[in-house]
Amino acid sequence: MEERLKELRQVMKKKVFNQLEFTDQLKNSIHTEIRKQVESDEYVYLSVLQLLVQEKTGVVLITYLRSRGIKRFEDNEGLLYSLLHRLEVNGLLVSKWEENEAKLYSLTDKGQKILRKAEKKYAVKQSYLKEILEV
Amino acid sequence: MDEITFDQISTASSEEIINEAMKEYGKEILQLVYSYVKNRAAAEDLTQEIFIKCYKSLHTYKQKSTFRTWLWRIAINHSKDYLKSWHYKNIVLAIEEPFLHEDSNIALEKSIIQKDEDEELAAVVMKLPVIYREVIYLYYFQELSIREIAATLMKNESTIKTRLKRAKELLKESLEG
Repeated sequence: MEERLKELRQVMKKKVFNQLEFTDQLKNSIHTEIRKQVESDEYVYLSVLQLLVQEKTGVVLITYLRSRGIKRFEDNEGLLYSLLHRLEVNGLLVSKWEENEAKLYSLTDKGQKILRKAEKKYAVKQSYLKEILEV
Repeated sequence: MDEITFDQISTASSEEIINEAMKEYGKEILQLVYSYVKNRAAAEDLTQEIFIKCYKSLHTYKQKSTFRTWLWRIAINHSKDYLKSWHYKNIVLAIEEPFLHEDSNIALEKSIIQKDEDEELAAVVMKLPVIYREVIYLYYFQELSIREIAATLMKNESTIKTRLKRAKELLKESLEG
């Protein structure tokens, strides 16, 4: 048995995986899906930064994000708090505890600066997309 | 400097990581998934979903295991979830069953006319129940060590050894019995 199994690698390549290729088509299709995700991620980050120009609690922030059509945090508040945490660690946000025990988040100066740059970048991209679509 | 920070969180680098991962591991993930689901179209769909899932959970990768092991775990769990899904149990199996019978008839005829030993070995491995098939696959095809298999499947090494032993007994029975 052991002897035959030693040949399993060659055997499976020949008999099982012979029709199986990780094609460029599959690669491109994964790439396209991830691109969509990246673009929507960028929109989410930008929105979070824009909305936190004025300080807000996480709960309030989710309501505002919903009104912008961002629903990914609806049943997953943890996802939002881990994002807020990452932004805070990177120095874009500060948080402070309110008297009623909710945490308030707002942009730091660094956050403001990055927001302005990101808005410019995003605007360029949007107008570029618009051009393509209108032709 | 500010820009780098924004780019880091804006996931541009994650996208590059996934592109590299596809180049490096795309084929072996596709084969791994196929060894579970035994269907080319399903394996391709699941592989796509696995890389997207990997992209989405990249920030949870803690470097406690190698990136490859981490990716494999995602792939294996995703494949097993698919095998447990309503869609698979109620639709795919119902459609595929006639083919399975057909296959075994063909296999039977072949074995009478001319016994292709390689084909037979591949067929019996692919017919093993999942818990035995995966250890055989990881050990003999991917050539992982017992320890690596245990880490990938998140089981004890002794469990892996027992399954491997049982798997070989099962193979022996089907090939020689």
